[in-house]
Amino acid sequence: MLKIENLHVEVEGKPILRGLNLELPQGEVHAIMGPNGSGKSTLAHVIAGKPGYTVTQGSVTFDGKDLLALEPEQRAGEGVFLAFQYPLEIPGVNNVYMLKAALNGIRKYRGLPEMDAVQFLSLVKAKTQVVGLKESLLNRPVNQGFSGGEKKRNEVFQMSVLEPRLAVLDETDSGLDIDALRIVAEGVNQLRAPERSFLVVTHYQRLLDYIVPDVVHVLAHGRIIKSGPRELALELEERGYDWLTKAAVA
Amino acid sequence: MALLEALARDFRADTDALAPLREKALASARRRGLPTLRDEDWKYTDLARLSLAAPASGPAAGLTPADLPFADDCAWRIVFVDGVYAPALSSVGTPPPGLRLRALSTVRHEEPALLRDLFERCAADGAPVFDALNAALTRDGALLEVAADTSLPSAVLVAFVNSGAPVQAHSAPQLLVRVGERSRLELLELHHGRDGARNFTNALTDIDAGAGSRVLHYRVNDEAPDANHVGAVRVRGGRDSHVASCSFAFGGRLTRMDVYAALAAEGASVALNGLFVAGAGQHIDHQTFIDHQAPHTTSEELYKGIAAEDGRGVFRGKVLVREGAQKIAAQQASHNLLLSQAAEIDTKPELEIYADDVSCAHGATVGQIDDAAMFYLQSRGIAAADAKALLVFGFAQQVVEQVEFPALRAWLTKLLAGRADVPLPTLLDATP
Repeated sequence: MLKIENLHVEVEGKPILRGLNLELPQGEVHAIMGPNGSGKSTLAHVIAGKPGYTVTQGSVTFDGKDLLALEPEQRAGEGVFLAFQYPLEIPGVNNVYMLKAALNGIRKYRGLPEMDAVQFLSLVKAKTQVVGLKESLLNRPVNQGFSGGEKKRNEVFQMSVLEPRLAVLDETDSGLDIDALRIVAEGVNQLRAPERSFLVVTHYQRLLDYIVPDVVHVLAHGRIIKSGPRELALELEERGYDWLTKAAVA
Repeated sequence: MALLEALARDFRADTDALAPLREKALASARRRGLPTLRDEDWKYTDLARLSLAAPASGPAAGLTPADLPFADDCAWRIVFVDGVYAPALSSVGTPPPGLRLRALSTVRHEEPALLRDLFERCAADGAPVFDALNAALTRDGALLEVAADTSLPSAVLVAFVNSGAPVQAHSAPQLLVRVGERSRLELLELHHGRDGARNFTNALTDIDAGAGSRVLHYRVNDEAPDANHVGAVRVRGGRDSHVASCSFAFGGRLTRMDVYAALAAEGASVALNGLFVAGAGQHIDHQTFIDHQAPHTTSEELYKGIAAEDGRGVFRGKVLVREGAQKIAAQQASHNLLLSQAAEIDTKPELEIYADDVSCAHGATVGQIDDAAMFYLQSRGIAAADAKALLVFGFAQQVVEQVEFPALRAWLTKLLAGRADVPLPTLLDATP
């Protein structure tokens, strides 16, 4: 489904990703772990199409399509979703209103008719229950005045409405206490489906106690230096990253 | 001073009781001349770019109430076309108890004493030149009186329509608002230009809010693209009164607003809000002055400016806390959004404080569309043009949502969406 080959990415002339290879099959959950500054967030951003990154080599394809040639909204149309580490606050723009624009933007991209207000609101109601988002947050400006946990839950809520085929979770656990983490993870688990893949970017293994991955990749110095089953995450928790990164450099 | 003399041609040497004051006001304006870029208040607004279209005679367009925005939303309205009272468009016949709505052309002859104070202030040496010119050259306008302990069930509309008929290039309308103790008034002051109007308007609004009253004043500048508009709003807030005066400026080639609010008695509060959009060739300048004269007075101010293409905006907000005006609270914010490289907005907050136990805060920003917010919306599937439109809409929304009059809120949203230079979302009608 998602195939990344020999990906080299620079930010302001500084190389961040240096020949990254990754294959994420449909329906699987892969975790990307790595020390700070290893390029985890860069990878998430490049997949979603954030400006400011220069791809100097390599490719990112999604169902055979060249993702790098598409605008961020076109990638969303193809089914890519990025849950932000720091969700943006958009003053003056109502949460539901933004989401309706998003859903209809995606439907338009796919040649589907726009969803009317009645259909949309019943969909939204159903989804708030799935992720446990307070209904009072629906008509507030996007993420404004939301707590850290509410922002992350709002990301998962958006994901549940937009129903992506590839969800990239960028440090979704950051800034969450254990209760908030559990709730957000439960929301994500409800969205696990045979046709949907997840790329879970995280620094700590504790998120993976709740969102159990099929494969764990270790990212360091801009490359995947080791891949393995979920037990690899536990090993990293115990031994840290040094034993791997030193071996990779050597 | 070609402009001043061109305006002064409209002076009429009538013999009514106020004539001597009008003459005095004109002499005062002539003596001082129009302000120039050397005047601090006029640093960014060059009147040299103003000229007065030659007045010609011709029939006024056949307007009906259906041509007027808000006519259906306001049970009581008084309408002026090209500066002259238009009874056929007005609805003042059977006002509810406590409301009196009259044309000044009538009041001037019936009860000139009601107007004397205003004309004296305008004719005084220290008065702003455009106030003096307004008093000297005014032909008509409205006097809106609300008796004590009156709550009006509907908003009152005072509309100044510029028809586009080549009858009158210049008008100097006045709006006098007198609100009695503990009364409540919602007032919409509309300056509306029909297609092709090339008027020069110099309008003066004077609001006297009695003790304990609550006044919501919405002033909308929806002039035609070739119009020029100078306007002043003078507010006096009595004890425990609350006045909200909002300026929405979208039309005209050159717009200059002066808003002055005096908090003259304890407990008075004022909210001055504004939203302007300056598109191609437009220049919109707001100068506000909040005068905390008494202790325990409160002011809040939020102005938002949007400039597109080569549009130009100015905001200068002065807050003065006089000696002895302790325990006052003043908050001011001016936020501005530039939509193109050629657009420019200058903003300047000024706090002058002569009391020591006060709480004052101000902030001013001039920025562009936030790239991070753009990416966030695009990553959700919203096309770049729509994402930009949503962000502009959201920026303006903070002022729009403070409007308590639903018809105006809806109209502002539509007006914003209809501006080609400020690409607002076609999705607006879908607001949940």
